[in-house]
Amino acid sequence: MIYRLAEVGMRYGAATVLSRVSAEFAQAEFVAVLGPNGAGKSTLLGILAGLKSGHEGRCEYRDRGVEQWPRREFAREVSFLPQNVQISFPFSAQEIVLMGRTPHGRGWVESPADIAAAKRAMELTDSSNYRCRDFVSLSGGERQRVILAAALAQTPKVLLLDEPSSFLDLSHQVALYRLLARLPREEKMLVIAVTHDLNLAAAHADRVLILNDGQLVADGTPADVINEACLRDVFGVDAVIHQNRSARPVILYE
Amino acid sequence: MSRPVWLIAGMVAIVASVLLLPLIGSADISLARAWAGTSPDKEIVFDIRLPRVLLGLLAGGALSVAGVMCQALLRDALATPYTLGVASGASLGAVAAICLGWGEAGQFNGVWLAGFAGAAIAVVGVVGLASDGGRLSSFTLLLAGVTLNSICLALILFLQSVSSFGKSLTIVRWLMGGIDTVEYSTLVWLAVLLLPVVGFVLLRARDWNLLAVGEDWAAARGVPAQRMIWSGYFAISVLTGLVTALTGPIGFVGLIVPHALRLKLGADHRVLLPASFLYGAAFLAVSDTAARIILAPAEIPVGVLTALLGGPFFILLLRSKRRSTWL
Repeated sequence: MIYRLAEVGMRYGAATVLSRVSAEFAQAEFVAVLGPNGAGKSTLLGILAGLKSGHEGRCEYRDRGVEQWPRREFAREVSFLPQNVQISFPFSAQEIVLMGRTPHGRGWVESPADIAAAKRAMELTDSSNYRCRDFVSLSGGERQRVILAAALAQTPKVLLLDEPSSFLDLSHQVALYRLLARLPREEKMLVIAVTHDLNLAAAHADRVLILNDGQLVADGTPADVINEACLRDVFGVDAVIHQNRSARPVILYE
Repeated sequence: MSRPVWLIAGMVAIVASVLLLPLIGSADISLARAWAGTSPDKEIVFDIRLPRVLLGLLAGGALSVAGVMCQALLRDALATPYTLGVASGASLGAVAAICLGWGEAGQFNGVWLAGFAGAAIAVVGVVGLASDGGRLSSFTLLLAGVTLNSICLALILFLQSVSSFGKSLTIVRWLMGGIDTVEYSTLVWLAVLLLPVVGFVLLRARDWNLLAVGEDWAAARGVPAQRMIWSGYFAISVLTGLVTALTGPIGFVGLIVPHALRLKLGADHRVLLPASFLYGAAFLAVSDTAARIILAPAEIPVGVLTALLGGPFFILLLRSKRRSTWL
């Protein structure tokens, strides 16, 4: 187990957005975090990324609290992909991806190894075609692939993603989830993704966490966790669950 | 042109400014006689015009670099070195000194000293307003800076309204911004204080790239974001405060030079910062020389001229921008 969360919570003033979440994550798995808006998913991800100070409980990465890790060292292990990156300046896509290499070298310019890693990451996310274009000029989906490439170029052991597929077209959504499912097997990476796409998560994730009102209400394989009762109680949606050819749940909304 | 060519061209522009600008002016000067030490050519070139060109270079470079830094830290392409309130503090200090009649007294210039003091107080004030348990956020910095700007402006207007006609005129003149002939010792002091700050900012250029994208973006990639925001704010304050105390607020340099260079060279601070220093320096030195000669022997305030030269140039640039969709 490389991540251990014990009774993790978060309050903003009087509002409790996350309370007493305990979970452990292994070296190589693809975990999808599901839940309605305001369930605390992004807050949980932020705590895992070490970006939310002042949370309750313990959040340990490799037996050390995430706040105790030196930032650079932690950034070589854990990469965080924010939901929405707004940039006001004309950075090229390639420059954005190369920023992922920052924790790997103290030099003023990137090394050939940095450039090779960035190139490979852009190939993995199918974004090489527009590497010289301004990030600002790209479409939402193209931007998302560039940001994902930046996270992969960091060559992390843990990849934390906040709604990575929200702007992607259908083929890139499927390609993204296939890639996320491949990373634990081929690169021994822990992938934790917050998402609203229950079907894609059910079809690809090894494990699903469901948050509701800041509480962890379910944790298990997609087949165990995603059922009609859960959809009704947590998401407030009446739906029918079928199975696909690999015996994973498929949700049909009425 | 590629990025290295732009940087080399910038250096050439600096050297050309130092060599050529002191020869231009209302009095006809022979370089041969100046070198030979003949009066008054020697005094006009070496004691009056050259120090002024050098001050223009230092001030322009520092203001442009401060502008780039403000824009990066506030993640706003329209931020200027004056957005954060430091220059208003310097102005208020200088205006107060003018009202109190602290003119030049031997080696010390009371207006400068009051300007430095005003800038320092403004820095402390803005940090006090903006920091929350040791954390500085771009948004609160911006709010604190804008608030302090309006308070200082109100106090300046008040001081001006109660001062005599002569002093009021001096105040208006100071607020227009201008580059004057200074002693070489002042230039040396200025360079000793400014250049290490510029050097520090250049060395950390990769970190500013990440901070220009976002604080979390930088922190998640191992940049000590809070420490860099603090030191970046401090660097902006030193650069802006020192220059403004000497020259008054000179607008446009810190906005237009970075903006124009970003259109041509992109946003990578490893190129943008050195280019801004070089072109900002040359731009202000040339503007100041133009301010000297256009209505010679009368002078136009250089702040007026930077806006007059910079505005149309900028519009031209926007219309011919190479980097496609960005504005």
